[in-house]
Amino acid sequence: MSKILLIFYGGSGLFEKKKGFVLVEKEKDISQWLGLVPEISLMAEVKTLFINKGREVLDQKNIKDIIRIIKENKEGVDGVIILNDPDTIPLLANQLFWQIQCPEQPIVITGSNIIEQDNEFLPDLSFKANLINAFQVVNSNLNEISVIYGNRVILPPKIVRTKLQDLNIFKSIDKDYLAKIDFGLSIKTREKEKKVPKYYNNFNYDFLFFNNVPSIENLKILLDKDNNLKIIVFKALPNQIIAREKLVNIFKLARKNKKLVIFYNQIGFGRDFFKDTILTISKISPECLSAKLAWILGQTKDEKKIRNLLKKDIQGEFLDL
Amino acid sequence: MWIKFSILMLVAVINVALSFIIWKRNKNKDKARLYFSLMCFSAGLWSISLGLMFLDVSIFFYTLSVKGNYIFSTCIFIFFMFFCSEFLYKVKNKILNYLALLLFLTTLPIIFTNFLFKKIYFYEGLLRYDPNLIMHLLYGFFFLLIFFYSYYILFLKYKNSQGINQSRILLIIIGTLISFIFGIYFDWVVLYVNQYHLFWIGPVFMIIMNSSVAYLLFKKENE
Repeated sequence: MSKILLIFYGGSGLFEKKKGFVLVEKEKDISQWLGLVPEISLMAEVKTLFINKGREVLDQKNIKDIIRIIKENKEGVDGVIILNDPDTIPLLANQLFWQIQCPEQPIVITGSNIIEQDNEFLPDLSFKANLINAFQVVNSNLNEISVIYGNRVILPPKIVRTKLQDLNIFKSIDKDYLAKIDFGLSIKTREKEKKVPKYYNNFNYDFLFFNNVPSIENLKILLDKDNNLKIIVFKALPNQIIAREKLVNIFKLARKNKKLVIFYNQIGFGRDFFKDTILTISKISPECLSAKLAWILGQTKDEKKIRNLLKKDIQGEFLDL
Repeated sequence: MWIKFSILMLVAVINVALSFIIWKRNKNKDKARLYFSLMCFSAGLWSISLGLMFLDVSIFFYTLSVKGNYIFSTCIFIFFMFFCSEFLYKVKNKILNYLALLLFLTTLPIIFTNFLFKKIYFYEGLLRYDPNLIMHLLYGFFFLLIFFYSYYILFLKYKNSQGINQSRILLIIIGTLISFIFGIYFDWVVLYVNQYHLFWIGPVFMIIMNSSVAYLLFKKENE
């Protein structure tokens, strides 16, 4: 029987008609919670671990704890299942995708999607199925970091949330899935270079995403050279230059203060408007770009290296859109 | 005769093709899928053995077809029982092992003796056989025991499931149940109501089971 490490990091809301919601909010809640899903003990020997997320939605220290725990337990378990709130699953999955590259065993993320509506909590009746299917994914030796929800198993760089509450709340940007739950678990073979597993503990979020281009006066504080902020990312619509002059001025100021400015959209640019100046990045999801930036800033501070790593397809993160 | 033969061969082709598709798509070597694939393959062979009974090549060939009919239908029930125990998560139960062993043991006398039928003879130019009704009845009850036990496991899994898994089990229950009920009726019950000539209809209902599984395998989603 396989050994699976089940990490509780939010998203554990099970619903039973008689008992209502059963959540793991403390370590001692785990045994009662496991009692409600006896099926999983038939599928694997379960080792549990509780991470107290406190009031934070997604804490940097907690992510580092998860990486450390997975690294420490890699010899003793056949796979890892992480429970997390669906709101933060794309961010968590993408960060783990960058921090743990080419894992030796499956690392599957799922969670219970509880919605608050009219002062009432609506249960996620798919959660039990998601949990059982997550165990099936681990037992199938799909050695990837993946997210399972509904009948889809998704690779983190492709994940996008499309619905608030449904059978499937996530989809793959390019409709390509690692596996699907149909009659059973249908795994799609992914061509992957054989690489040595790597665990990176460091990452840092010294960057900002802007959905518009604020005035240079407002940005001056952020672009101050004594400020920790390293990178500013402006999201743009495809084929659209948003305040090009303003951007060039921002770029000049950023360059003077050794900051990096990125112009980004998911689909791609018709033309590279800012050749050799502002770095343009496309064909990558915002969550993945954010996680990649955090991973890069955890490895280097050198601007040239940052630029090279950002442009380089390291883990198949650039989408064929 | 040729129409009946052709229908049975078509059913056989569908079952064998579905068996191959399920086996081919089973990259993670899921046991439940493997058993269902073997069940479809057995259903295909069952259909072929029933079809061959129409050919009247020789008494020996006819005897082999009749025996094949019993053996492959036994295989269908064995693999279905294993499928039910493995689907979603494995149900550990000693009864399963005993039943499987018993089923295996019953196939041996079918192969080496003629205890399930009394005689084979020509009737209006066609080969026919008279089954040993008592043995046939006992054998049928044995089938029913496995049938009910398999569905007991499946219903328990259905009751304890939620969401997508519950709908998957429901579709499998509906698809297989209809096929099995008609299969049991046309290949077991009709012998006792002198409607023996309808035996070829049983495998046709396997198409319902095939359709429910094919629906799960190939349905397109709304993105």
